[in-house]
Amino acid sequence: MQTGKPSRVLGIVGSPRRGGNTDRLVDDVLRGAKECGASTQKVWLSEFHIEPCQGCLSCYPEGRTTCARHVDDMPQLVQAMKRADLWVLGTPVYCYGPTGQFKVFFDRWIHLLPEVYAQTAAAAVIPLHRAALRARPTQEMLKTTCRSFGIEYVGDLVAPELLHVGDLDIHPEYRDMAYELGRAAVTANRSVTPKEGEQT
Amino acid sequence: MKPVTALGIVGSARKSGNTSRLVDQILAGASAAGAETDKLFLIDQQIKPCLGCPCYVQKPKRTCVQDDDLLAIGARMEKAKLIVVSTPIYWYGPSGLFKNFLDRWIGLPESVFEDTYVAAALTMQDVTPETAGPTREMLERSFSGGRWVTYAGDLLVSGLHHTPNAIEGRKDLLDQGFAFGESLMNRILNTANS
Repeated sequence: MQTGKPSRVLGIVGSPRRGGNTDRLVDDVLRGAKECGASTQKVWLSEFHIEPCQGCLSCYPEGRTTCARHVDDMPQLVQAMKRADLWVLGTPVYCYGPTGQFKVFFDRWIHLLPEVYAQTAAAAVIPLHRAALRARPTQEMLKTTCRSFGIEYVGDLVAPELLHVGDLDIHPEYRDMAYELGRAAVTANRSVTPKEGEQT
Repeated sequence: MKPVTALGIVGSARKSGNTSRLVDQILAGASAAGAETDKLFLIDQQIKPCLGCPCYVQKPKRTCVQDDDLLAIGARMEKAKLIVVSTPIYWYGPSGLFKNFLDRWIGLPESVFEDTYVAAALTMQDVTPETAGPTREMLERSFSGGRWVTYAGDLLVSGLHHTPNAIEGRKDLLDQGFAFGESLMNRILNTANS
């Protein structure tokens, strides 16, 4: 990145399938990022217990370190998100949207404090069955939300015609595209200032 | 004539919030048109996430393997002629609570959807219609595939303050909900009788 400081990238897998298409494409994005000197970490949302937002709004609009209503695994994820300056959001398209598991997590962004998302960029990996057009609502949700936080949305990879585990092997071109997305995201000419508490 | 049922499914976690209240109004309208009503809150149900295992390719169709409340909800949906799903708009999409439920419809028996209408009630604070765009597109495309159900459209209520009882002061919106439910049920009954 512009600062010359190695980037820290967090892959967030919103598919329930370990080793499925989303999981593997997130790996490829991380591989591209690593190639450019980034350190990487990956989490599977299916391994975290995350309660749906209750809409109590005790966090709104100031944000909170932890949710007032739920004691769950969200703080661990928030810590990982805070440490990273690039989030790779992976979700397959289910019913023309992100997975419920991903959306439950995404809704909880409402209580994120600026120290978590400031100076952060995001990229998305969106595999789906059938045509790319069907990813549009998902892309819009992710892109527009990131922008409303001031998170730079560096791009997404929409990967059609992936249904079953292993279908990625029929489309090796997506793996290259994911790799390039990871490289591009890390080398993007962004003016990055370190997050709070970070060593420069 | 056999009574028809309208089932309201509340996709907001707030049980006495604006979305729930709007659903009440829609059901009251459907009731005025002659329907019986039923209502459930997703927040009261245990609904695990879809595991992405291939129920969708099984012939004959297999129902979901997860052990939770899905099939019991499906039984209530099967009894209904009209299912009114509802969700507030969170981050330009449906609530996670609702989306998690919708993902599981694929694991319900096909009999649940036979001869059934689905309508949607959406609430948001924003006044920009585009904010609801991805959710509306998602629902319309999900329900218009032909395989599922007949999609009867949505009612979008915008400009609602985020406090839970904001809708109480908006008689116009409450009336819109009632009229939506009433005309929908009238249309369904007329189609059934023609």
